[in-house]
Amino acid sequence: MSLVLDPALAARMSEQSRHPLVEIISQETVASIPFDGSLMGSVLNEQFPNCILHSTGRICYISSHGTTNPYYLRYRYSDAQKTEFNVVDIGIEGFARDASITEMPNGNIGIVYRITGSLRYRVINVSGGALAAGTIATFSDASNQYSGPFVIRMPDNSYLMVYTKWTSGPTYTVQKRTSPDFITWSAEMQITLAGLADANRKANPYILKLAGSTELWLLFGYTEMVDVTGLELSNIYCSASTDSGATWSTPTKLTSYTEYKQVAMHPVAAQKTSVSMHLVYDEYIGCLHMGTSTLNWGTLGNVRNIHFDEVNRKLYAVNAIGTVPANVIVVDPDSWEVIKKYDEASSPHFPVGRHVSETYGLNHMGAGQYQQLVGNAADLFNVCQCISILNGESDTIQTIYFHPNDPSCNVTGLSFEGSSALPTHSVCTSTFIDAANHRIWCIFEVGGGSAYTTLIIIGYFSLLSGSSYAFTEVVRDLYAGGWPSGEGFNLHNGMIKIYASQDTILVNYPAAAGGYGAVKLYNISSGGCWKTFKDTVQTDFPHAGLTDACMVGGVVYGCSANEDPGYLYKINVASELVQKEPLSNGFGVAALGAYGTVAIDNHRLMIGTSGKGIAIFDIATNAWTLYNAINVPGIFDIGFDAYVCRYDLEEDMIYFGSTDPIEPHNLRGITAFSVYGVMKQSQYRIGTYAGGVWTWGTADNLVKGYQDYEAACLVDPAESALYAFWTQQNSTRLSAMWDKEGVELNLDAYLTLDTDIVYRRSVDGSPASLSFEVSHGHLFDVHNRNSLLCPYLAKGRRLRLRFGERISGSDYWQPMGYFLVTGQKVRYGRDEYPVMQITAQDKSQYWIDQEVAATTPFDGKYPEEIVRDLLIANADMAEEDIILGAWAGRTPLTHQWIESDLKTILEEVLNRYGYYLRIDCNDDAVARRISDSNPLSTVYPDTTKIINFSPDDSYSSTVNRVIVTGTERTEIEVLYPEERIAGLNGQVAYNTGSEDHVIWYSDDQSRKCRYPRLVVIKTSTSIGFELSGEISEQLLDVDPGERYCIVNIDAPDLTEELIISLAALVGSYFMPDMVQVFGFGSSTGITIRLGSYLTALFTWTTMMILGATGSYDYEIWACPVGKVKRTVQGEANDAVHQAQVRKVITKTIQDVLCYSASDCQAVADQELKVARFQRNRCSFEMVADLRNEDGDTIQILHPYSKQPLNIFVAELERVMKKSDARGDGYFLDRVEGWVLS
Amino acid sequence: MAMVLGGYTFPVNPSSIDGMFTKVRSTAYMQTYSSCVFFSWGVFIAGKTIPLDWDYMPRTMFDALQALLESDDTLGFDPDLENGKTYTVEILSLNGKYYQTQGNTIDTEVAYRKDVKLELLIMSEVT
Repeated sequence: MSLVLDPALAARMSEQSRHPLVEIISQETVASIPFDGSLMGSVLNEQFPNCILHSTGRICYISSHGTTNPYYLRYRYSDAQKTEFNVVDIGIEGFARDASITEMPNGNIGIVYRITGSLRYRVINVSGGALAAGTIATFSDASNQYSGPFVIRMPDNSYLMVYTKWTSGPTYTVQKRTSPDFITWSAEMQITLAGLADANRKANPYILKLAGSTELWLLFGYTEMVDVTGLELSNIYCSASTDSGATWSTPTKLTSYTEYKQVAMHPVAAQKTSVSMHLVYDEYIGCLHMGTSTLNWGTLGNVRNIHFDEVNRKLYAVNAIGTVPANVIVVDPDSWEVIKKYDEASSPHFPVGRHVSETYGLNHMGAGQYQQLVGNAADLFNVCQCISILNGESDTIQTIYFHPNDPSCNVTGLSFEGSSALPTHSVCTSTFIDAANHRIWCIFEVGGGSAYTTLIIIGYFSLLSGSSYAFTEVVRDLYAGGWPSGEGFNLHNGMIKIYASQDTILVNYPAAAGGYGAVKLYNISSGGCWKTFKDTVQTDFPHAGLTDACMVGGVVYGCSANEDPGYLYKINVASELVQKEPLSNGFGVAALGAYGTVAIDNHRLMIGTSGKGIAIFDIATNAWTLYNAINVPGIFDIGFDAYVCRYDLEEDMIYFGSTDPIEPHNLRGITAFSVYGVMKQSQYRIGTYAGGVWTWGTADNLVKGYQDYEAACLVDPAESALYAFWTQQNSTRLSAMWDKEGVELNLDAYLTLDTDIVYRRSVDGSPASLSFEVSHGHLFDVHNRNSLLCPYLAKGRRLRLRFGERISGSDYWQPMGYFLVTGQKVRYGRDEYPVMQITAQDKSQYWIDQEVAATTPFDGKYPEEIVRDLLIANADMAEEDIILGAWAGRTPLTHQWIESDLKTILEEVLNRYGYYLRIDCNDDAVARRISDSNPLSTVYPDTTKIINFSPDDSYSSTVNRVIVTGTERTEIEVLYPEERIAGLNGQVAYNTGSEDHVIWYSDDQSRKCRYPRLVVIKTSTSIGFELSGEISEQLLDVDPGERYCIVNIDAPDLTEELIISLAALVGSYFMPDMVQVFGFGSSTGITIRLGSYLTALFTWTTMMILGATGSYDYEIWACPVGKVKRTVQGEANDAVHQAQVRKVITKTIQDVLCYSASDCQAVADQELKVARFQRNRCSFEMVADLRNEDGDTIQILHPYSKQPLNIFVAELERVMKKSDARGDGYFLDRVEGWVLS
Repeated sequence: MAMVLGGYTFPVNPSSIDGMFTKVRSTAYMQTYSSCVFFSWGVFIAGKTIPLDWDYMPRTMFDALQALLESDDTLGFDPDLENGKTYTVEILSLNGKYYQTQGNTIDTEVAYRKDVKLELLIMSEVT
């Protein structure tokens, strides 16, 4: 479908006389407020900014520069168009504070400022040329000058200056002076401020003359109360004067602070209209808190674990009910707002219910985009042991169930065999996420305790896995006797950290009081232990080990655990030297609660405690910096467990979770504070005047940073845009920053005449692009920090392109799309005007670099649904911005992509169905079909629009056969040839009788076989069996599930014969040998040995029965049963072309999304169609027609034969060149198309 | 009346102005296969160059114009037209010749310059 234009604009497309328009607008990609700011110039140590809008349109700016001699006032002035600043440094006598400027009637600039002991003035011309200078007043006591001055020009062209004066008592008074000429100044006069206590501080006085009125406002910060700890309750107050400053009204409060946590300072105001005003002021905060009273946080405020993702700038806080994790809150640390919550009701939902134990921050830390949600179940017999990990980038939660008895167990390769304890007595005591390699490392302890053999297993699971997780075992240590005797220390509750670049696993074994602690180091590559630290070897090592340990620069650091407390231990791995650094040096106390030891970078450690504060230890200097309630007001008034803390290297902020439930600490959650102490951030409220009163909106951040303050503002009435200039602190460095409210910049005045503005779209999946040139390249140069235009064409800036026509004096526009600047190029050379070349692409440019670790496993989803889900999850697109429709030929897909990029994944889906994805003119993602059956969108009945035409098959190939192969989703059963499956051999005894043997077809009892048969290899028997029969065998039964068979072996049972024989044997003993007496006396005769013979006989038979044995040896043969996925194939032929070239040129494609021959055929047909199209390619130029888009099918006439040609627009390049003096201009469409018919 | 450039009133108006302080039409045309297409981007005056020529001018005037050139700034220009319109301009160039005496020697101290050409670039129309 072509674009639907305004009817008048559409009608113009048919005309020969054209009045083309082009508009390129530079826009911000996000809301401009809060300002992120750009650095002004490159010289640092600049502060106290002030600014005015000069009557010529220039911005004039003043600040103080230099904290040691020489000192300067830094004066900047822009050109009238506000495109760039010029810098003039004005040398002065000392360090100036609160310099203020005003425009004099003749356009010159008057400056007042204070240095130690005096108030001074200077007069310069608008270009910074010095005209006059002098002293207004001197003070014998330097401390008399407290704050200010601030000066304005009055309607009668006189000047009014205000400042705050301090005198002992103390008293704080606001003073004023007036001058008719900026040279001579009146004596000071106190401004009476009714209702305010003299003893309370008044600071930063500021005067505003209201637009369209003679009324003056005096704004200042007023300290209402100070509590016993020195914390202040301070607000911004306003007093009005309607008599040119002679008298002032009773001050009223413009801010509404009611607690001693924030201090309002440094008010300024900028009026956009007579009824709209920005009140800007600084908020000084000791720390930020967030918890149950924060919007979208919820009711759970028991934070057990936090993690800070530096890349995506997200802060994760895991909340628990009691000790059981229940949800995770995702916080934007810059806006300090809850941006997401995962709980049972969310999608994906927090895996509540499966987990019975909690996640402790030190044992289960997050890393990168991964936040561990829950740890293992500590109950040895509980089968719910698992780990859940949130991937904040892909917005997915994955759970690894590793208990062997868990029906949900989705782990392979993890074996707990080896310990004398039950394998089910396994505990995952600690995890460590290696985000760079997408791995979660685990340490398992099995059989911990002296009664068992202790098994320690360390290894990892890949977080890129889908539904099943293979465990890669790295370390397996077996300790006979368990702990403590196993290695002389408690092998219990091991905590791991991985140092992949150093090939090292660090395991810290903290012990309970009386126990034996240790630290062990293993090689990742070999799994071998190469270092053990324990007090029986390194005598200075703490007996109970370390609470937590980390390794920096070859040294292991950690605080002592439970025994021998009060030290930070430093253990040199190479020399094994153990050194102790007293924690009292850092915390001022022994800090018994010192807990986590976190490496901030390669030279700093952060140590959290329970109740003692957080300290940073400098490794190089052994210097400590402590943060507690004394130097960070409010830090511990809502919770004091700070042992799980994280460091934000970009903003130098520290975040920690609060868990203390003790009243009145009723707000628990997370706390943030700046390492520079008090956070200073400019805020604003918008005031609206109606009905004679000003009402003020909600306060919000004017700037993003927490050390961004002292904002000075002005409004450019031409654009109604707010300019802000402020000071940014980074460590001790002070920088001048500026920004401008999100107004757009129309680049029309900068587009050069003699170059093309090129807008290009293609069906090849590449991003739509825009290129053009602008004048003033030196001002758009991002490295020119004096330029106010430098942000407008910086990389990533959004450009809106519109083409149009002027018709009867009215402009008609058609949006072409939104683009993000990809590059700027400008060349500086003498006598060479700096023209800048700009290139930009639509937002799909990011898809190429958008890594996708693992997509959701898609099961039976239509391709449009998959594309939509991918764009929402990975391209930050909203569902309403994705317009895909129902695709022709769509089929349900089942697939998961691992370790790929978004563009590749999308193209696999799109190519499967012959579609391509484009970002359309409304910045929506739209799918279009590449087809020769799309309806004609535009028909040109003549050649009046055609500039030239050429057949052009330069991109074509000679492929005339396409074969696409795929794999079926379902498995089919196959029967393999008969083979020997198992063997059975053994022996039988006199009493064995008949017995059944279950023969499994595989050791893991999973193999299936069919048609088993028994093959007798050998059967031999002794005489005992020979006399009673033979051993017989038979294949008795077969498992219906085809995983085993039963073999029956039947041998004669000789038990009865044995009993008879034994009975006879016993009987034979009672049968006497008979004696026959004869011959010569009574001593002569013979003995008939009947009994003895019978005894011998039955002894023999008994022995034969008892000795009866038989042996057998059988084999089971069967046909294995297997399942395979069949390969399917589709083939498409361009028979005409094959006949023409008398050759078949084949292209083979493997498509993982083809599950049937028909799927393959559809892809093959589409691919062949594209190959054929490419051979029918043409290119032509025509007068630009704003209706046409890539993917349209249009009809033109062949310029020679006049036959109609239906052309699929494969690539459209729209080029405009405004006419120069030579009349060289055009507005054309260059079309690369496929001639369909 | 006299022309005024950058606040400097010309003692002598140019002897010729090679161009008009009028807008020009930005156009182009192309021949198509069977017709012609015409493009117009409207009328503009910004970017038009106007050369002002003097056969002779006083040396002081030339020096004043040279000072304006060296100010390297955008200037206001009142060409003293009937319609009263004024413009902001940039000086592109200023060239001339020293007046030569009968002896054909160049005397830089003579009071005149000859064949002076001042080329102005119109940046915008003010009124």
